[in-house]
This record gives sequence, structure tokens and C-alpha cells, in this order.
Amino acid sequence: MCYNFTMKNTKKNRSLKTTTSRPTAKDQPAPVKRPRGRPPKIKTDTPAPPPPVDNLKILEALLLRLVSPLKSLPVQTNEAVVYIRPEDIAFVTTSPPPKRGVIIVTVDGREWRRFDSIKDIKDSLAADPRFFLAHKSYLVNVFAIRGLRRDPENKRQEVTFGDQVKPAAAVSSGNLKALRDLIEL
Amino acid sequence: MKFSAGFLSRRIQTGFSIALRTTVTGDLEIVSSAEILAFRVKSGKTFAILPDREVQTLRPLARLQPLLKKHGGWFQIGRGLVVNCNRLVRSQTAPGGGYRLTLENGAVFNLIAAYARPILRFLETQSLTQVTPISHAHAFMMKMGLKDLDKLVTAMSKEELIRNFSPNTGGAVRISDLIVNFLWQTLEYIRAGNESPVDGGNVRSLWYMVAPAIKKLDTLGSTDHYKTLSDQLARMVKAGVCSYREFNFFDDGKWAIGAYNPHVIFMAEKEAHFGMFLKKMQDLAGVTIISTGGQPSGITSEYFCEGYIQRMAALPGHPPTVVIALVDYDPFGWALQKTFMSDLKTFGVKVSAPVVHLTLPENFTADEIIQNSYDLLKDGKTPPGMLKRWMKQTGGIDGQPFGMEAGHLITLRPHWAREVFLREVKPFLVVPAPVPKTFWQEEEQRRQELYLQANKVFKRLLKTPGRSRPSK
Repeated sequence: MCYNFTMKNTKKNRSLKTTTSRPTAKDQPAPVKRPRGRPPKIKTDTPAPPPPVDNLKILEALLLRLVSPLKSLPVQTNEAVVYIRPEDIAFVTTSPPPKRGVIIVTVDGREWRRFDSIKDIKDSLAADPRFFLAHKSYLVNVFAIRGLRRDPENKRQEVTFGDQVKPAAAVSSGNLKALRDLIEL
Repeated sequence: MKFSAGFLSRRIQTGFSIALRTTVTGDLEIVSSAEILAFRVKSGKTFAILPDREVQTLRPLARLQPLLKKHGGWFQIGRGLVVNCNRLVRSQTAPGGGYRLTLENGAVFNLIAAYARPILRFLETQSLTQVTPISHAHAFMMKMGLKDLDKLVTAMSKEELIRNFSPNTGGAVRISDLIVNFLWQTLEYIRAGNESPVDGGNVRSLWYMVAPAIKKLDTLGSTDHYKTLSDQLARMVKAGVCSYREFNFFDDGKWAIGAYNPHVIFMAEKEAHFGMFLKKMQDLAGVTIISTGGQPSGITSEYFCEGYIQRMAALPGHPPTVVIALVDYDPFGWALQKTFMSDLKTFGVKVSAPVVHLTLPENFTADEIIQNSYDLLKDGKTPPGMLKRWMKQTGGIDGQPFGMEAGHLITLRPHWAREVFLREVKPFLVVPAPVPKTFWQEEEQRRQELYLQANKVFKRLLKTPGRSRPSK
């Protein structure tokens, strides 16, 4: 086994390279290289599979679209407690005065009451990324949004939730960009 | 992201396989555990309760329990009964005790209270009947018997009324529940921004609205349901759920806020005393006056307190409220005065000073007492307990259970009554009596001035050429 030292990456040889022509394969025998370090990467037509952690993230994102990781939210009726799945909530808004508490509007258009503040609801739903405080009085489920429009009367931006949900949720101008990013606009 | 066990089953109904026996011996049917609502053990056999049927399982419940526990959301709610709480949509108090759980497809199960704790832990809540926090008003109304109704009480048929307001155990319709729900629906209607359907009316106007519904049940003649309505409304007002003002009832209660010393409230039990004595004392001392006319009316008390609070808000730094009472010197007079004080408290008027009574034995002569006092024991109208309490508070007349009517104080010697009033009220007056001008005179003078001004303008307009309408 022999080594061709003429091709060694030295200053002298580099200067020679520029002046002399490259030797052809016919002139010199192909050098036999000793395998050192990592084996060379083999280029194939099929792309390399992504690392497994990415798959899990995608799966998690898909699961979150389907179902909330949180427990059902209890709401009060006149004689019972009803349990609402967080993924079924369209938006949460404050009760109009003189009433106190919040109104939870579900994607089927039904309205439910709770007696805590919108901040408390926001905190309890904080672990679910679908909820976004679009306005100080509106906590919206971004996966339930079906439209973004400008209210013809007051010219403010608002989001809609399909035919079954009549009321729309206001979006403050400061939060509009963040909301557009969330719904990938 | 942390996912709770069994969280996916509520949406896509994933679960583990459960083998069910079929009618053909040896054949098995495999279903997902998420499709099953509950497992029930009957005579040593385990049955799976599905939305439309109940089928025996291959394995006993004891063998299934570890799987159910691993999957999460399955809880024992009674002896040999395990329910899939991942599909729970509603919980409420059961009529016979414990709780009633409703699952997604409407299946209802009764939960024995002793088994509730793990379910509460699973749901991360404190109660299966009340959400925390809850408004005081809503909690009170729930206790009063409020129901989830999808129709107005007044529009319900006889069958609907029986279905909604009869106890589950059977029996007659609970009229008080019906009335409470009617009142709540009316209140919700008004609070939604609509005009009160009894605007300018009174409590009886509300009764006329609900009476046809009660008449459908053929129970009108037996009990005084108007009293039930009036009592239930009074309870709601006292609990702060609503106010009479929300219904906008008309009230011609006998009261007037004082112009100079409004913080002194002079109350009388008898309606006749308003004109006979109270008005005159108001003219003299500028105090606030009210005549309750026997048992104080809730509406009058509320409207009076509303007016009083408004007046006092305009006079910051005024001394605290004082109440001077002209009531009969007997247990009923004292009870009426106490009710009035309770009403003041309910409607937001704070009174910390003790009540000053005018009808006391020391304000009568010995002859007057001998001639006009009455024996409360012989009378037989006062319950013994009530009389005993009153005697303990007042000592009666010379330790004997005798009473005196308030009317005797102001009719036997009117001047003396006036002096007694002025003597008692003097320490509390900001503007000493007699006040500069009587309120009634001032009011009359102001009206006269307005009339004169208007008259002058009218005459001037008539004299101005071109202003008068040309005659045809």
C-alpha cells in the first residue's frame, strides 16, 4: 500500500496546482484511501425520515385539534351542573350588566353561565392552546373560528363561529395580528 | 402537554375491547369500552349497559376493573355499578337523595353520595350540584325550587305543568315551585331589557298573570295561592335576588322625606296617625315620616328606603340614622317596629342607634293608664312566648302584662304628645325645631312663584303683536 504525497494539502503544492495541469486518471493510478473517521454519506433518492420527536409534535398538534387536554368545564343551570368540553366552546364573554359572571357560548349556539370572571376562565383554560384572549371581554377558541370580518356598524374586527353561533366575538386591534398568526392567515 | 387518562375516549370513543356474550353459545361480540355506558353486576353476572341494550360480558367485573382503572374515568357509583364518567354531561340532586348523573345519550344513573368523592376528584370540582363560585342569588333560587324549563310557565299545558312541578315520587303539583319559576321567568324577561309586564301595577297584577296556569290544575279554590306568590316574592326581595322596583309596581305608601332633619325617621304603625300627627311633627322638626299601616308593605319599605338613601347621599356628613317609633305598647306593636327595622336593613338603611319609643308608660298619667290600659293575658290574642319575650324586654306596666295603644298618646293630650316628641327628638336634630319654614309652606310658595312667572310670560306673549294667532 502506498500513498501519493504530491496531493498533500501543503502551501507548496497549492501553488503548484495553479501552475501545473491536473493529472488525469490515465497518468496516475487511483490512490487507495484508507477509511478514516466517519464513513462517507451515501446519497439516495428517498429523503431521510424526520427525527421521531417531530412526529410526536405533529401528533400532539392533531390531537389538540380534535380534543382538549383539559377536563370538562362545569357550568351552572337552574337545577343542575352541566359539563362542557373545552373543545366545544366557541367563545367566552362577560355577562352584560347588571348581571355578573361570564357567558360561555358553545359551537352549537347554546349559552351557559358561570359566576367567575373572564380572567379566572382564561387562567383555568391556559393549558389549552386553542384559547386566545382576542379582546378584554372575549376569550375565543381559535379552532372554532369560521370567519373574520369587520362589523359594518362600529367598523371593528370580529370573528364568527359558523351558522349555529349567532353572536360574534370582538377582536381588539392590538390582538388582531397575533390572532391572524394563530389562525395562520 | 399533559393528557389525562381516557381523554381521547370522549371524542373519538377509543377504548379497549370488551367481549360480550351473544345468543349463540360460544359466539362473542367485541365492542369498544368507550361505547359502554356502565357495567352492572346482577346475580353474580356482569352486564354491559350500551345505549340501546344490556348484554352479559364474558369476563366478570372483577377481571375488567384493572383495565377500567388503567383507562380512567370509570367509577363505582353504587353496589355493583360502574359508570363511564368520560361521557358525563350533567349532574344534579336526585329526588330520593344522592345525585342523578346523565350521560351523553341521555342515560340516567343514580349516584349514592358515599361514592361521590372519586368522581369529584376526577372532575376537579367541589360539588356535583353547584359550580364554584356561584352567585348568592342563584344559589338561593336553586333552593327555592328553580327548574330548567324550555317553555314559559304561563304557556304550559296541564300535562306539562304536572310533569315539571310534581315530585318524582308522585303527588300533587308543587304550586310554590310553579310560582317561583313564574317569578324567575318574569324577572329574566324584564332583565333582558323588556318593559315590565306589570308596569304600574301591583303584586296582584302578577297573580292575574299566573292564575290561569294554576287554574288548569283545578287547585285554585283550596288554598290562597296569591298569598304564596306574595310571600315567595317577598322572600326573593329579602334575599336580594330582585327588587320590587324591577317590576315597577305602583305604590302610594304614606311617607315623606324630611327637608331639614331627614336622618330622623319617625315611624307610626297606624295609617291614620300620618295625617293626625306625623305630618304636623314633620312641619315642626323637618324629620322623615312614614306610616306602615300595620304590617309594613315590602314595596313601601323598598321605595321609602330608595328615596331615603338618595336624599342622604345628597347630604354628605349628616349624622347617623335614628328611628323614633309611635307603635302600640304591646307585643304586636314591638313586632311591627322590628319588622320595619328589618326592612330598613334589607333595603340598605343602616341604623345603629337604639329605637326611641314614644308610647311608654312614663308618658301617661296614672289615671290614663288605669282607664286605657288593657290586659294582654285576658285579651288572649298574644301567643305566650311572644308575651314572655316582650315582658322581658319592657317589663309591661308595673311588671304586669298590660298594654297601651299609641292612639291614646296623641288623642288624650295632643300638646303633651307634641312635647314628648320634641323632647325625645331634640338631641338628634341638626336644624333645631321649630324649623325655619314648614316644608309644606315652602312647597306651596314655590308653586305660587312658578305660577306667577308663567302667568307673566303668558300675558306678555298675548300682548306682543304678531304672536297671537290670526283669526279667520
